[in-house]
Amino acid sequence: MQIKKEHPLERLLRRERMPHILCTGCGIGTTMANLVEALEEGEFDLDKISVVSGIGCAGRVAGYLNLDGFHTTHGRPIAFATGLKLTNPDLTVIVFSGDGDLAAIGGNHLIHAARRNIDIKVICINNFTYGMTGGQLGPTTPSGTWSSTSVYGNYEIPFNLPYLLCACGATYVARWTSAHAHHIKNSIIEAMHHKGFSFIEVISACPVYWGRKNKLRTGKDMVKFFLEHTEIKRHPDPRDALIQMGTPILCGVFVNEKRPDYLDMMKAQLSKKLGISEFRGDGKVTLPEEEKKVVSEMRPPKEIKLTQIKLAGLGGQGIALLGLIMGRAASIFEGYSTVYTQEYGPEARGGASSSGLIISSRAVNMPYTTAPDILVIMAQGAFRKYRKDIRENSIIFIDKDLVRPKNIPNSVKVYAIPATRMAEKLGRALVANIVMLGFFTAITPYFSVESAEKAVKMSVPKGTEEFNLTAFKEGYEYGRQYGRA
Amino acid sequence: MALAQRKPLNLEKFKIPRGRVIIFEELCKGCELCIEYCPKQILELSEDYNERGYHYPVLKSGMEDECIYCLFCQEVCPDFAIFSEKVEGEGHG
Repeated sequence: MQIKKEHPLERLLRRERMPHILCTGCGIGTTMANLVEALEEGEFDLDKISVVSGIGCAGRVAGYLNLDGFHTTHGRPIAFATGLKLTNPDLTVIVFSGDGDLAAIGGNHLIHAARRNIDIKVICINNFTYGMTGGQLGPTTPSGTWSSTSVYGNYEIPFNLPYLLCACGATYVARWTSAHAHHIKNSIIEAMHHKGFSFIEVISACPVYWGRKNKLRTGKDMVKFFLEHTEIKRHPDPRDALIQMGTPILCGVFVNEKRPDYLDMMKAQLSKKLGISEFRGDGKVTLPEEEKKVVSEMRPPKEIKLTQIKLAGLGGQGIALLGLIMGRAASIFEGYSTVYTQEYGPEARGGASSSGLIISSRAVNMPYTTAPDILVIMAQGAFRKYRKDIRENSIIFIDKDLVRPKNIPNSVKVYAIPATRMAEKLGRALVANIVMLGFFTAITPYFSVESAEKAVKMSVPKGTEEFNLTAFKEGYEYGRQYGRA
Repeated sequence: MALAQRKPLNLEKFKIPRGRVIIFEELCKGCELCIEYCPKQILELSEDYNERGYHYPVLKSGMEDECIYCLFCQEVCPDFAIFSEKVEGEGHG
């Protein structure tokens, strides 16, 4: 009769996610068990530990541990971990990921994090292959072995990860196999107490892919293989750590040295240059509480119904800026609710460009303009593109010289202004959009002249305010001839 | 021969600890690592299947009290399906 009891490591696991997806005999499970044992045995403060992992079989681990963690994009766990560590230096950040994730796609992050000696602990599961995707050749597949994309045997030289990391400047580098359970645990505890970039490579059994293709079909076979084919040395030379079939896998602690880490170097440099002595994460800095500013709610001046405006033209005509200024005038200075979006092609000049604006006296629940009531069109190409959006009783604003409206319903009101020509007369064709803004302000009721002028001042480059305001007045005066719509 | 007969003077003070093995059969995936690692070789594969069709480890009959609480099985188990519990006060002579 079995007595059901709780596993002693229960508090560190998310049982609701278990059983995990890892295959029978997989070395990742053993490594995870050792990580958990190490955290338990080392009596670390679990609130100060977070686990970051990438994509792949090993990337699942962050989800199985009952610790704060990130499951990040492929190859980027070290980038995430760097950000995490620098933002909150009190945390101990553990990166748990695979060889494909860390050494292939994320190789650059790995070597530069080691070079900078950022204080994170990297546990790299090296199972010689890409397990989750079907056992393809990876950067660590030993020469002469088989994988599903090297069916005649691998003829490449694999990465010698300990040597690479030692060369890059990592201050703690160790390698074990998943058969050396106790050593992994001790190494993790050692790395947790180490200050600086720590790298533990765990040669892990993948009996389902790498093992099956290389006559090691079960986890038991692989563990036996590892125990027979490893050599544990006290001070191994990383130059001999290349994994080749036929020669023993060199295991041990390759480097364990002290060197100031990234944060120390940064603090030393910045203290000198900026005269700062205390940094966040020193354990003594308390950030002053920010006083909450009371913002008086602005009431919209009058009720208007929701209006969708589409602005379209060519890149370089200032279509996006025109929409932005109109939005600012309506929202910041008039108190309406507005939504502003913009879209443009990859070209800096000449491509299609448009922006959308929604103005309402109530909250706007639409993300972008769908059926514009007002169109501001500054190029014939844009007219062709948005011709289908012109409905009965639409209002369109056009540049007289650049747009010839055709095939539009009779009920459409067309307001035309030679904006570009007027801008050219003023000196620069660039301000055609501001001329158009003045014209728009004179005709529509959404914002006053004062609001539009304030928004122009706020949005145009410093030193050009006066010139832009002149252009605005030109357009406004032109619009006065039409009278308000 | 004299060397082989040497033994510590305080040998009587030490007791090999005793443990009780607890196995969650339903979590097991049948990798047999615990059976491989057990230094006293007190585990074997069951005849029965668990819910997912794997054979799980069971204690060999007659060896239920042989566990020495080395925790190897707990350390290697990838599925957190086995652990050993210390039996206080008792020991293997």
